[in-house]
Amino acid sequence: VPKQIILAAHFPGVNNTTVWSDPRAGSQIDFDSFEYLARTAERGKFDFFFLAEGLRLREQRGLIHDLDVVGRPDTLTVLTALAAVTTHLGLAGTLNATYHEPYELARRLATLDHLSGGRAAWNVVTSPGAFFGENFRRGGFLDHADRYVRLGEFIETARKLWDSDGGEFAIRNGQFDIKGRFGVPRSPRGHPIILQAGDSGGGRELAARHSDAIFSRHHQIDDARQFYRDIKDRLPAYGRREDSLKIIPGVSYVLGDSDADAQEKAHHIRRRQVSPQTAILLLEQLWNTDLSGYDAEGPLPDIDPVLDDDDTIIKGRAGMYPDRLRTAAEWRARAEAKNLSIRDLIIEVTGRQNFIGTAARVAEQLNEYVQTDACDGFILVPHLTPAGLDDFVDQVVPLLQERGVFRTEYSGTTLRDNLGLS
Amino acid sequence: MTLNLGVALSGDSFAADDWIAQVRRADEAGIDFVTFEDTFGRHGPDAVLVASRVAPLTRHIGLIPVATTTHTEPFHLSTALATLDWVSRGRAGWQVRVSGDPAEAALLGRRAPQGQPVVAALAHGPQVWDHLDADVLFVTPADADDAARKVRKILPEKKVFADIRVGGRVPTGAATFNGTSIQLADLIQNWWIVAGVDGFRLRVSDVSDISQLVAELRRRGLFQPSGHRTLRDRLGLPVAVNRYQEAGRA
Repeated sequence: VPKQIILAAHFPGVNNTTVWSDPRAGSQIDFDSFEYLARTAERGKFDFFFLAEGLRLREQRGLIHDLDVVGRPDTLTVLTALAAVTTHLGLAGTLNATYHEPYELARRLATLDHLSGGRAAWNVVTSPGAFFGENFRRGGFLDHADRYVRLGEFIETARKLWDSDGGEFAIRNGQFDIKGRFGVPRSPRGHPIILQAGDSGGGRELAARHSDAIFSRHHQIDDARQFYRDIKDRLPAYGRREDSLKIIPGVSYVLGDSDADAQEKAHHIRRRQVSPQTAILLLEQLWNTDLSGYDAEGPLPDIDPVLDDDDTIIKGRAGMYPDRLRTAAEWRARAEAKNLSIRDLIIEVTGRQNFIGTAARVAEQLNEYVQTDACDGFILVPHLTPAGLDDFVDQVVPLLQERGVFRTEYSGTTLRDNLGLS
Repeated sequence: MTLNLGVALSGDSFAADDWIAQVRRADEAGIDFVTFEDTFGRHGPDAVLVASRVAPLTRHIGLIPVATTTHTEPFHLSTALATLDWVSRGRAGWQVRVSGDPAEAALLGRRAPQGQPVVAALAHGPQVWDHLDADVLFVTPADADDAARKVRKILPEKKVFADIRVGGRVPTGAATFNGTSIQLADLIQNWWIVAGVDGFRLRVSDVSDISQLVAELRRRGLFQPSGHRTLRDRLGLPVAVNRYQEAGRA
């Protein structure tokens, strides 16, 4: 029996990869949009739906980043409402371990797990730093060095609360000192599923120890295989089997009637994802200085990036460029060699779709990734809200089913059943 | 015109169908709203999420969960309630509750709040001080002896602050001080050490007027900024005890 592919639907998020200028783009906040994508995913027999969390509007040049979508919902409130309009689909969301507390979050997650019949999943992240902290009681209290300590102890604490099964608890570790009675009995399958995205050595080790799945960022097949091997090799130390932790990269795709048609569509989408204003803003995130005087259709700046990572021009986005000077030199060389404008270059270096082609080609590539252990499945990130996965469900899913690598019916009712996890 | 009817739901079921049946029945009966009981530490599901769970399956009825504000993050709670308004298409409400039970604070851990806000009151006249139900009293002594007299009249667990008007520009009932920052520092030192005043409230038209005074007090080692996070801790007041706590448990 070939490996079965895991598929998840990511609600289009805050980044410029979501195209709002398309006439088909719907509301980012109306419940109809969430319901539509969730129903589409369930129609396609997907494993789960995924929703990210917004803790503060991002800022650039000291102003609200007004090309970002504004108005992001509370993760668990949306997921619990989606439990009312779906029956088998897992309901996964990001909830930040820095700015939540274990008792309250464990209670809300367990509530979702009960009210959905065992379909809850929690993507655990941390956000050190003062920018997000300004929206919360404790401020930016967490040192960068302590982020994995917090994350690990938060997960351990939540699991103890769930295991207390409505009874007394007393938990003391470096981050938490809590006691009382946890008012929620164990949910249908014990604990919600735990996802994690950490990619550094510390993050990988924590994932190997605590997580059921990894929301990975490794897309290139060789790189993805290395990451997969690295993670799976860490599992025996924790007494875990290889198939007890699923690796699921976030990916995007473009379908066409022919491969050439798909390439043309992909190029068109990229131009919409990177408007002239977006190109300048993304360039500023590397250059770390105001470039609003530059023409997006003109050449790259001849000044050097500003190397002050304590005071970045973009606030609320994780650091993407560990070596600004080197990346800038690479971008300049590339732009000069191919005579690219700022916008052309940004289109090339950011947001390239991972799978482009006919439905048959995309199905074949996805399957190759999974069968050759580059990953266990995919979190699909559509570029349109809310109908961005319609073509995938209509065209690619049937081909995967024909190959015998994707379910034709749900075999159980919980997310653990979907993922094949005990 | 019609009167409005609401129904209070106080169950602790974790079965979605129980809640759906109840709320649908109320919706079909034309009830205006249901409230969903909750407390921070109870046995039962989170009420905001219960309301979210039934929202897509009901049409008209208002959904008003109880949500406790004492320990929750205002950002998360306000986002959750606004999101409930979206998923119910404009039918959300919020019954506000605070938590005064120390056992509920223990669920959140060592960062317990100060219990209640600090209550401060003016005591400029010849009141019977002990009966004032306040943590901090502002008095207006004429001199060090008068300050000592006033301090003696007040229960020792309360904090006594002398009100002093610095400069003549602020119309208040407080004693007015005219002089140099050094002289004012002398007065403060004297009233603090000799008369037993706990602190001073300086009435100024501009906070920058006291920068020299603060520098002088710091130089003398009399004043230093506090690292405490709560006002009760800064003032040396104990965490407030909930007066209903014993009665509620009996």
